[in-house]
Amino acid sequence: MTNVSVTVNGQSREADVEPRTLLVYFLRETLGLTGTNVGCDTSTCGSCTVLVDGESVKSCTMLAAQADGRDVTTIEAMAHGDTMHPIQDAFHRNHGLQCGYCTPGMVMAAASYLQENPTPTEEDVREALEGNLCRCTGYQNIVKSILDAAGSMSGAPETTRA
Amino acid sequence: MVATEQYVGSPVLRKEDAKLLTGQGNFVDNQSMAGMVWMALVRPPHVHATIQSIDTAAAASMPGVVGVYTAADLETAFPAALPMVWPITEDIKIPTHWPLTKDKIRFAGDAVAVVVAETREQAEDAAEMVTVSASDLPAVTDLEEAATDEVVIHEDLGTNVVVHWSHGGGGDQSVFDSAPVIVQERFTQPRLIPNAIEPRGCLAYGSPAAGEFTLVSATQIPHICRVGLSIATGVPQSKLRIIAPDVGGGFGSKLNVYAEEALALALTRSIGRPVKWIETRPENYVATIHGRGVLHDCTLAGTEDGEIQGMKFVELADMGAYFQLLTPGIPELGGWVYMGPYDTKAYWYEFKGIITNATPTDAYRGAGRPEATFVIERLVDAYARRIGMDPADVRRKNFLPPSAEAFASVMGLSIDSANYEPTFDRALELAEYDQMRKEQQARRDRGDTKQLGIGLSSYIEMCGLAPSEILGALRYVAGGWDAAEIECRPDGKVVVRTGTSPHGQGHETSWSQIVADGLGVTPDDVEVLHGDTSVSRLGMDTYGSRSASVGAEAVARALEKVRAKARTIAAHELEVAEDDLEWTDGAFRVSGAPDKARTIPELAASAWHAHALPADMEPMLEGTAVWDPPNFTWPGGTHICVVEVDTETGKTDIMRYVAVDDCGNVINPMIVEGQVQGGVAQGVAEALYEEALYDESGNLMSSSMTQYLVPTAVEIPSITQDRTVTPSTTNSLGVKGIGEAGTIASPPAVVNAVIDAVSHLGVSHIDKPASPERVWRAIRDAQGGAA
Amino acid sequence: MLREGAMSVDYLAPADMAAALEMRGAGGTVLAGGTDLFPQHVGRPMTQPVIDIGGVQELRDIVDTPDAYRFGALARWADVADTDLPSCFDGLRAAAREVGSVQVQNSGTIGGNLCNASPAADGIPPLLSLDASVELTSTVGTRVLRLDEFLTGYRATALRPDELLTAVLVPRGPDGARSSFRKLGLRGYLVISVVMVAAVVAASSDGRITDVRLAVGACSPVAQRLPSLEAELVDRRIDDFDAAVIARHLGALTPIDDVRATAAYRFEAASVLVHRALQACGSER
Repeated sequence: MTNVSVTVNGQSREADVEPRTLLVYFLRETLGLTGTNVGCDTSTCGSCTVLVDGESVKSCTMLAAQADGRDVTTIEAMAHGDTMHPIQDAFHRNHGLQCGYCTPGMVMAAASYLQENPTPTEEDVREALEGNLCRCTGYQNIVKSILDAAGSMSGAPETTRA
Repeated sequence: MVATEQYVGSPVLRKEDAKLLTGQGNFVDNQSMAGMVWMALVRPPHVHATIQSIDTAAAASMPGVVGVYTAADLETAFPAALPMVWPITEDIKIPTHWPLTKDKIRFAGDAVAVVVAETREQAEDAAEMVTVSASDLPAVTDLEEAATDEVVIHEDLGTNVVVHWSHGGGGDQSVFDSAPVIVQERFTQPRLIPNAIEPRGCLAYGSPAAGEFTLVSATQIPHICRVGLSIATGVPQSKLRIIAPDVGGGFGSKLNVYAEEALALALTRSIGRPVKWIETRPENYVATIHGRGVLHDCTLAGTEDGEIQGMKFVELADMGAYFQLLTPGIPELGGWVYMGPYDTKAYWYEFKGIITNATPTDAYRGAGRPEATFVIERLVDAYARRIGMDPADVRRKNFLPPSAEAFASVMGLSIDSANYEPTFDRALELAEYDQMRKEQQARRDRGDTKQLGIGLSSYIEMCGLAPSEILGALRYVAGGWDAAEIECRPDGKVVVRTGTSPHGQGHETSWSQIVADGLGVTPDDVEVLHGDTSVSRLGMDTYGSRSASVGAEAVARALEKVRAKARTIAAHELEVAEDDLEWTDGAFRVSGAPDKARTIPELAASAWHAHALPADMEPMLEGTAVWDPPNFTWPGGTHICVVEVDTETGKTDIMRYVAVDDCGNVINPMIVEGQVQGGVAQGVAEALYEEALYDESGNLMSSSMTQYLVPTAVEIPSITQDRTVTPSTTNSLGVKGIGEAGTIASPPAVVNAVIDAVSHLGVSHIDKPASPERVWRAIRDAQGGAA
Repeated sequence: MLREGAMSVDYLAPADMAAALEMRGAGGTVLAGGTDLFPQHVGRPMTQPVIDIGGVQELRDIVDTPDAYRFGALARWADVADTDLPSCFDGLRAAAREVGSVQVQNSGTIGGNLCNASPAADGIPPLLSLDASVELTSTVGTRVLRLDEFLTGYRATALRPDELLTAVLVPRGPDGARSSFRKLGLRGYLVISVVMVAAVVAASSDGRITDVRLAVGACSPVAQRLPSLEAELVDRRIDDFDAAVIARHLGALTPIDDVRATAAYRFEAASVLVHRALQACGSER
């Protein structure tokens, strides 16, 4: 067993895990944070995307032990109380989700990307989402949501308001 | 609060979103129970083999293993095999399909044993330790090869050609010999893997002593599962509860009664502990149904000036190694739309279902109708090329005439309403069709490396499954009705129980809109419950674009009963005749004295405390409706795709995609648009990227998400959308259904565009998916032929 | 998927280079970004200790030294893409943005990409076209190998079991050289490419090619330079040569038929992409 100490959603969490425990199973099973979904076994689908030190990472390509001493953010920490994060809110307002299974990964990938590029073009957003598969939406409203969120996060007028 | 807003027809934001956006979705894999054990299936590395022995001893001694079971061990657990509910002909040969195979392995993925252990890892590790001794037989995954019966997969059936269904034809069949122009084409459509992002999974628990069991499953069809799993396991329907929690996409792949569900139930019954199973993605690729996998020989009879006189289709359909729930019926679902939206005089369709050594096929988004629409629209384009007409002109010339009423069609069923030309015109306008043709010509004249292609696809669907009487005539074993219950609580809130089982379609929101309008409340006052056979007792679930036209219509009909009862109570309390009441501004008001009024929340409270109800009236303001539609619904539309094809590499880029659909009246346009966007994406995937490939030994080569090309945001275009509205005459809401339209319309639009881009180079045929290499090869072959 | 309990090997996390080399000397699988290691081990248990070198800080930097640009083995693709480098690195930076997805670029490392030695690794053709070398270190010393010597075959390298790849060294190229990267895949993400081409071109003021290096990936077990084509192109004007010349010099390529493409198509596509990569170097002048 390996002892890991990780800051998860602002809280310090410590546990003994099997060395080969992937971060995603540490989050889901050890910590009970089931908002991060698992969709494939080949690091393809991106459903399990979380932030490690603020950058998007597929939590199935990282051991829990590798996250030792680092800062992990999952979908559960994006909203503050009843107030959704601007990206979550944009997904809601733009119908950026249908079944919702890929959604946590999409939101986390978007959060990381908008930090890096706060004023993306549609093409930028599409390329930034290459690692996240969605089977329901055809991506159109996901892209729209992220562009909308970029606008609202940078203080520009929102392009869509229901 | 009394609401006066009209919600139906408005883009009301979804009630489903908040929990899904915040990581609070209740997917089956998020659920666990005290004492729970895990199940893993043993799927040996054989495709077609006779089993000699199965050695479970090593696995049984692995850490944490509770038990290892083969078919022999579960002999008494399953009084019947897994259900297939659509024996479409009298002489259909039905392969027996046990949850675990007994004698033979018939496809890569056929499970021979199941391991139960304390943890998932222990179960999976132990499953690896089960050794199967089996002698390989030749495997056959090619349709035409399987049809020769050189290798027979189910010996007891004596043949792989297990079903032959013929529509029987409509109209004057002589045109297929006598027409001035006869176009014949052969089209193959590969197998597709549905790829819901949530894999399948289930959790079974209950009380063996009481004989009562519950199965939580990632399924589209809890109500049908209850019936099917009762048959397979012998648990009476009265003691079997099925729960579909949040379900992460289906697309038909969760429209089934699967072996793992039956196994989990049987094992929880024998072990007495909760049993959980979650599918891995590689497992999903072999053990969850595939779609398509068909071969069509097509004939179009027409005139030199573009009048379509007859359409004839003879199909071979890959059933896979067994039948799943609806397998042989899927081609037949297309069998009623092979005229497309065209006024052809003669109709012929037949198909043979062929057993192969591959994963069973079944409903995949569109189910039969994409297969049909693809070949119709490819054929119409081939006809247009033959007679030298613009494909748009050929289509326009042949549309069925508009009708606001239901009318008989050459294929024998009645179409609920139609008006195809305005939809078509709007699509041409949005695509800037004439301008695109000019641009195409300019590029051709310049000899550009990147050539432009414009592809059209006009389609008709048959959905809203289904009138039970017709289903009976078609030998489907169940009905096609659906049900709804509405219960008005004394706090003014409303509970709706629907028999549909959404998994992304937003029924909670859309059904709330209907109820809010009818009861003068807001959608937030309405709670829509679904997906649990103990909560929504009656239903037939969600598939085949049926939920709005059957399920929401049931809600509307239950609503009328509630309103009628509410009106009676209001009249009683206001001491007027019912006829003296008007429904205005969200309340029943006395004509001429609008301040004398009762709202639904007030009447709900009256009906609940029941202190002073009219004589003989039962307490509670509630209503139930079970609705059986009198007809199918028949949406239609035109999609246009503009592509740029790199003639050096064969790579296709979509420049523009226009979808104009007519699904009748619309409850929530935002959700309808989203359904089309997602459907088009799946169709674009089918047209350009996706294909399940088997090697010569029958192993699936496209065995993971890295090899099977589910497109990303980079490949899928943003589409331009519009709608026309031709209300359905089948239901009072006038709705037709939209869940599958995008997937039905888009593959031929895209492939027609690709071919159109290089047709001046002599190319007239490219198979799906139109990969860069296929396109490059088609150009090279055409050029070589010309040299 | 690797789940808890399915493997019981040790996880080692050296804090510095000396410890890392010590552990590697004792034997173990090196874990850098993890983007290839974990997917490759789906259903195939690991048998050796895992040495996570992620904590070895000195392997992270990209530095400009007098003789060469030195990319620490743990430089991530995101770092490569974001670092300000001369124009001859444009092709490498473009390739960095093509590696997997953003998440993969945030984790995957330049050293891992080379040690994994996939015939279709995005980073390899640009590094070959830059005449890159690799620095291999063990407890007994350090050696430097040219990249084409390091890559010995399909997923095979000259890395000894006791060595770590510690840096990628790129010599200073000809002044003002331009570079480009072209890739043909079947899907944007996570597709083993059909073909990819990297070009570095230096030209005189009158537009004649003075130095050109071309490398093609996914068309042979190891990505290949095209020396005879390079020789043929020197002294030609970059915007003025017959594309047919390219096809005559692709003999070093040995593409295979696989589920993604046939050999014949790969040849043709390689020829087209070499031409386009060269044109890009010209048009970007």
